[in-house]
Amino acid sequence: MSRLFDALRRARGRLAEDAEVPPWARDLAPALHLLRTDTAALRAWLRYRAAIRDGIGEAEAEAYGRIVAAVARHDGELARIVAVTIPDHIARVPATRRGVYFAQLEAVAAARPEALGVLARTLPELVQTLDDERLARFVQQGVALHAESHQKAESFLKRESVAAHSAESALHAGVALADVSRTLTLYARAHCGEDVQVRPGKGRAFSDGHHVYLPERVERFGDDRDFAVYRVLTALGAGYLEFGTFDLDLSQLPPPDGAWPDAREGESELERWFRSFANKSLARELFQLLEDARIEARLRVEYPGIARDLGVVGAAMRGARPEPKAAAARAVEALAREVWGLERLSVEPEADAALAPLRAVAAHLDTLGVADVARAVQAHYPAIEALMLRAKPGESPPRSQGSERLRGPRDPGASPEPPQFQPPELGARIDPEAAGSEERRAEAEARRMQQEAQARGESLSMAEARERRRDAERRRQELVDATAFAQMEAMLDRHPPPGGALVDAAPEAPGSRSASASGLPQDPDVAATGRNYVYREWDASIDDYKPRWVVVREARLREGDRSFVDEVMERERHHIDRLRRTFEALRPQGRAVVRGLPDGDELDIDRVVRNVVEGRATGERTDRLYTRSLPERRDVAVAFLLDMSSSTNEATAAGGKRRVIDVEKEALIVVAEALAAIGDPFAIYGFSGYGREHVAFYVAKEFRDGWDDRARERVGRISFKMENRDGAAIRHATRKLMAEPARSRILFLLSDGKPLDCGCDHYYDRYAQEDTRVALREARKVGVHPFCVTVDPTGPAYLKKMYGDIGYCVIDRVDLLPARIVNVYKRLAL
Amino acid sequence: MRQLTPSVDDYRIPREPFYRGVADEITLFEHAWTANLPVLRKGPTGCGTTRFVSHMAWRLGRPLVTVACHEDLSASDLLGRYLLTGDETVWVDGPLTTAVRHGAIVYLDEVVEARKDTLVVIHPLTDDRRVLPIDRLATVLSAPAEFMMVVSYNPGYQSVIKELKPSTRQRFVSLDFRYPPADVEREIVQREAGLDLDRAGRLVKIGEKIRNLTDRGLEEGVSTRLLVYCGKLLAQGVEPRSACRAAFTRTLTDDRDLGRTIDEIVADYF
Repeated sequence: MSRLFDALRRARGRLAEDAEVPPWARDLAPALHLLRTDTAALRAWLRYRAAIRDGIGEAEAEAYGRIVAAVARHDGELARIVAVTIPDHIARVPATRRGVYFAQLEAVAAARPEALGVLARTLPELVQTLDDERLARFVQQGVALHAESHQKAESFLKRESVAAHSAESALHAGVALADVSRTLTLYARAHCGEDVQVRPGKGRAFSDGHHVYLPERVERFGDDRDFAVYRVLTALGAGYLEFGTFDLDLSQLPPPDGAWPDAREGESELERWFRSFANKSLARELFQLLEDARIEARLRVEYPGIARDLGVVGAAMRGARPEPKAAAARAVEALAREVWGLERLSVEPEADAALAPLRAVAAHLDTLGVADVARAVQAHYPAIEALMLRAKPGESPPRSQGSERLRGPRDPGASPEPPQFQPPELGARIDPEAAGSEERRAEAEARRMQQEAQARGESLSMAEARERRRDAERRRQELVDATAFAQMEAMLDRHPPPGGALVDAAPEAPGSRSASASGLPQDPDVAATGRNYVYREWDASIDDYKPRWVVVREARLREGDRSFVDEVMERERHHIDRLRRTFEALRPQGRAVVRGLPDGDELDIDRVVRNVVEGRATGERTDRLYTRSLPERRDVAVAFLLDMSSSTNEATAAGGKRRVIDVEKEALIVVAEALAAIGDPFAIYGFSGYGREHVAFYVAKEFRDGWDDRARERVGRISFKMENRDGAAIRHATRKLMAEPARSRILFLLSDGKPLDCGCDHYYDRYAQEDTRVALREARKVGVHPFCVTVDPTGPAYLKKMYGDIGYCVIDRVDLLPARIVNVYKRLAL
Repeated sequence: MRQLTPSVDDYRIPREPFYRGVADEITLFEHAWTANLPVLRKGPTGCGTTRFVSHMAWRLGRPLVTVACHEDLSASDLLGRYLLTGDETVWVDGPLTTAVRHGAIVYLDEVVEARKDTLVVIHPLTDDRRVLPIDRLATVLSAPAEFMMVVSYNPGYQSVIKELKPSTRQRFVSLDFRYPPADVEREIVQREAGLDLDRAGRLVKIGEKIRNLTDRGLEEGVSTRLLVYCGKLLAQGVEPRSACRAAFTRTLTDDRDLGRTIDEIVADYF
């Protein structure tokens, strides 16, 4: 190594005299420096710098070297980590932003090298969403947090912490879609009366007939007008549905060449219609332009408020307009300016003639339907296409009259370039191609229903057909649920709920240790750590308990992530409603007689007699002589205990992409909404941890907490952590349930069925399964009804042994879970 | 023992209540009354049923006894009970007994809210027997020909427990009410609120849009009654957006996002 060091030093000495430094030699300085501090870092750097230079560029490779060297000055080990991390993450940065990525890293490497490990990982997301100035400020704040704690900085830079959210919104002036998307979704639904959903559109606004995609942020004006832009864009997107753009029916149009192109599987009528043109994009631009103008005209008539908004933000939304030279492009631009009421653009007489009929159509768009617009485009498209064909020197002149021309040449080589029309800066687009397969299937089914209805002589609009299809789907789903109910009932019959007197086995007395003694690493999801509790554990090998063996540490989850819950609530809305109704039906119908009331159903004869006697004797009378029978209230407390171990990060076998933990959370939200509606007390806990001294018990909702936005946000915070020591968590949840004053207590354990904790002792396989089983049995003995749900049909075979005498079920779909929970509830809670 | 029955005059309807017929419901109701058939009215809250029933009671010249049903409504709340005054026990007729004695129209509003076992007492009145047995008085009252029973319920809640039992439901002829068509509703709002046609029309359109949210985030759409309330505020000169916020947004929801949506819909029209 010392020979290499000498060689490098000599090389650098020679270079100092040489005016012309070859590029490769510039690497020598960092190399030399690394060699002095950390050879592992040098090795990593040597391995990757060439790859960066070849794959990305010389400048980036040099910046890479400087960064690694700067960190090495501070900490050799960290330099090695950074040297490996950067090549891993650089691929996630778009080519245009790589310069910024390295510039930021270099700046921080100079000022706070210790934060570079975190920054290299988190920066790729940030450079894509923030502009340079905001990025610099945001990174500066995040890196400053590093002085307080590594975790704080990380959760800030990952934009998970509340501080990050407020810092980010402070950086922006305009309106973020995330803050208004639910309002806008409801707004769109109110307008069109269909189940549309607003979604982020990666900077664009468009609609596929099922969703309204909007840019993630509007900051055109920096005041209320930014929201007005969202309003107008949403109204346009919903307007496509409200005013029937997606209901285009080709049977109402004259087919070109006597026939439309054959329908493809799942293809919408609009897509098929676009396909019938030789120059698809020209036809599409014309249609988009006129159809947008039609929707806008209809909106102006229907909604004076939107007309007002258009007046304020409309011109700005169009943006600066170009002045194209090519005849066809100029003609389309001229038409656009006319329908938008902007300054006119002069065109040559031939183009003027081609535009005249379209202008006539544009003059009374508010009275037209989508078919009228399509018909006009179809009829007058050839004249515009002719302008384009003529403009191409060497091209054959446009063919003569007839529908032949509409179809035109199919060969892309023969088709001229489409005019480069510049869409408005902020405008909606009709984009049927964006629809997913599920939506296409639904749409095709609705269309089929409509056609069948028409064949029967019934007139059914597409909107009605869609509604009818949705109802059918809902009924089908209810049937599936009912079947699941029946299966569950049968299963529960085999495992009657526990009864009988309480036996010993009271939980181990808690040994309270101070929270600061907690060995848990600081967790950005945790708001506050609570008390610690000590429990015994069952050792199957000695057939006895190990006393005071496990420490359970309580921690309250932090608020601040609503997106997950909002999305689930929105998506599973029907499901939640249905479940809520089912739960309502579970209300007890019994009655209890209350006596001694001043008013009621019946006189209480005993009291009346006593009252008369006492009245005569003492002169004192009472009017509390009535009885009334009041409905009985249910008396049940439910605790949900979620497995938050890292294995829940795996995909479920059935869903393919969905993780166990997400399925658990989703089901939990659905059930919690329903439970909250009927007012039964419930709590939501999660558990994970590492080793017997550190079983983490996360509290998302205590019995005393209301089911409000804050609780929902805490549930949103549930994520996978480390290992799972089920036994201890069950014992602790049981203890919490026992503190609740209720007649029945239910414990739902949601897990992946694999208790495992390999932290320094051996909690796995039989030992772990036996302890889990014993803990569940203990719960039953003190009067808690445990029920285990495993969210994976490929769960291990020993489930039956572990949960067997308790009652458990294995499910693969989140929508089955609530149904099953209702059933368990029915049996246990009443 | 004394028996008390409230006076029939308390239940008379002196002046014609305004009611704008939508379809053939007025004639149907008249025929049902003549044929001694009980009527079940289905439809969302506030779409004009109560007004319809009082209008019909006035038209037919009958007193009207209205009972708002609720969960704790018991059979004795309907039939009557013994009260103690001094050393004396007095029987006081409940609304149902009163209605039968006077040959009135009895209207059980939101009948599904009452418990199913309570509703059983109306069964003998709603078939061809038309009698009301009162165990505690040891009598059976026969309903006169003028007596009529009207019940209403709102299937919109869609709750399993709030379904009417088929044995109860099949004792009635049903009148299905919806929100009135836009032009009729506009006329109603205009007249009831004393508002100009233009603003009444805007209110009705806001109502339509909000009703689009029923089952898409909102439990129940805005009622004609609320539209009228809002119209009255407008007629008083209240600024439209705050009138709508008071009448619609705050009444319909506590959900912040949904509330904002309703405000935006209002802003579409005012």
